[in-house]
Amino acid sequence: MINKVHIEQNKIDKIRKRDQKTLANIYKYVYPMVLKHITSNNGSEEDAQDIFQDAYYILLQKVDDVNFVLTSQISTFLVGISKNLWLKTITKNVVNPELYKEEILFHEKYAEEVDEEKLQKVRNMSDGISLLGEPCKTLLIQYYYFKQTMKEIAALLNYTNAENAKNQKYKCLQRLKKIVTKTNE
Amino acid sequence: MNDFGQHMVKFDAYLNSEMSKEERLRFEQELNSDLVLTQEFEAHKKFLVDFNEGVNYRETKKNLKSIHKSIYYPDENFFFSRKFYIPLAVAASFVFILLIFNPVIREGSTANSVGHDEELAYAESTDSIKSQDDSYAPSVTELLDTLLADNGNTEIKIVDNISPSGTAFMISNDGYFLTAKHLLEGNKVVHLQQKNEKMTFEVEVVYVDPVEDFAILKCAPNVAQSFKEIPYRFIKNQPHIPQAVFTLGYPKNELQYTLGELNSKNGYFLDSLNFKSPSANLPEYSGAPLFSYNGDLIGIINSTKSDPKSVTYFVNHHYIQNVLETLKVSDSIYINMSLNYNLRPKKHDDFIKSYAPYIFEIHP
Repeated sequence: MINKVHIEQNKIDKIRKRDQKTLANIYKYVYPMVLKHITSNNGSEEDAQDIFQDAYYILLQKVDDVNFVLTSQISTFLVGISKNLWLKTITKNVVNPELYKEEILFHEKYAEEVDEEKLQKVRNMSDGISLLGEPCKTLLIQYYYFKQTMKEIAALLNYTNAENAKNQKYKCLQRLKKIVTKTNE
Repeated sequence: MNDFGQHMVKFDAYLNSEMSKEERLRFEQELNSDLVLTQEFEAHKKFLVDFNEGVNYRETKKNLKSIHKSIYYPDENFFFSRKFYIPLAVAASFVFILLIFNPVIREGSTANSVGHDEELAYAESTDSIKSQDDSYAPSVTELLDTLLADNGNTEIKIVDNISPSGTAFMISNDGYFLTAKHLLEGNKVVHLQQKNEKMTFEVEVVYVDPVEDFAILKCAPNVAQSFKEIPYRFIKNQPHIPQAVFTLGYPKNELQYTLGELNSKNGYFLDSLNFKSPSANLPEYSGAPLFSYNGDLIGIINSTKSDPKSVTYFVNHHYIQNVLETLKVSDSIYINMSLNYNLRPKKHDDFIKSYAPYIFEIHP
């Protein structure tokens, strides 16, 4: 048991460092279980990928929090979250969610791990960024996320000077705010 | 720009420490005295937190999709077909003839001067040769068929009609590539492509140099295994100045060979991290390798610092090798180049044919 805990902790440390080999090994091991579950429950392979990757994103967010304690194996966690997300997807528009009551109770444990509202918010922001198109997308991502200077961005996007890029950045951000506000409504 | 636009410029300048001490103090006083401004500032900060979370989500999903693809749909289309060699052999022969009849290369440097580098004596001797035979280029339909038949995954980019952003080249049979970091446009996964080989695959960005314009990419192991031993390696000693150098890269849609000359060991702002060449058209070869006339790797073309009209800079091999050594010692990235050079051709005109399979278009 101690060994098992040690192995899981070791994996968590590697996930925290975004060790690609570890991420890929976990993906390879767990995804087939999620695929089987979702395709057996009215979902497609694309749905399975999307749901599993969202669950993986949640796991990565969790492990970045130093206070997070994993109470189950990583695979159990990922499958649990995936099942929960899928359940929420398929029950979103159903008239009578009571039909799924048993399943909902079964996955209650993992329900608290998923901040559905937060996940939807990041999805909306991501979609909004996609809708922005170029050069706005690159401009904002490089400036706010990758912390590049306006001078570097101006060179990257062939603006004549940093001032022009700065003006463009303001317009892009305004556009993004409008898109995201509309999506969140 | 309206009032809010002006405010936003201030907010960003404040948050990114782009203000002087006095400006910061003044701005903080404004915040303290103006409630509306404070609310705007807080809303802006919150939006940026949401924005960065959104980007983080995108980047994570992109990485996971790449992992998914590498597990379930690995690329298998690797052949070094004769189709690719024939036009290159023609180009190589043409280059050979040019070299024989070009007095600049035959006799070494002369005193042609270009632009603002008058203090340096050099000879500009750049011949650009590209494959002319379009019959070997696959049609859009062919390319689509190949890519979609490969796995039906819509994540694959169809890039036939798009000019590449630049060049990347392989440096190790472990699957490592070098390129210019600005070409990545901040992506963690990019596509490398050789249209003639109908070859497109994803590579992960594993290192981005904080100082110079270069980055390290890595492909999936099964892709790396498809390559024969890389025929070139880093130059062992400092290159002598002046000397003829050449590059192979993708300034546009086709692989091109260009001959130039190295004329200074002092680079941008006279630092020693870059070399300089007076070759005016090389900036278009961003991310491409620079080889000595004898075929040794001496740098990566750095177009962000180069002037398209007069001079080209290169991140020099010494700096890159130092970075690779540091990465190795710190157990971050181990790039094994022991297999390089085994299949080294002996003659200059064989370099093009031999090196071409390791040079790729890069599509972010």
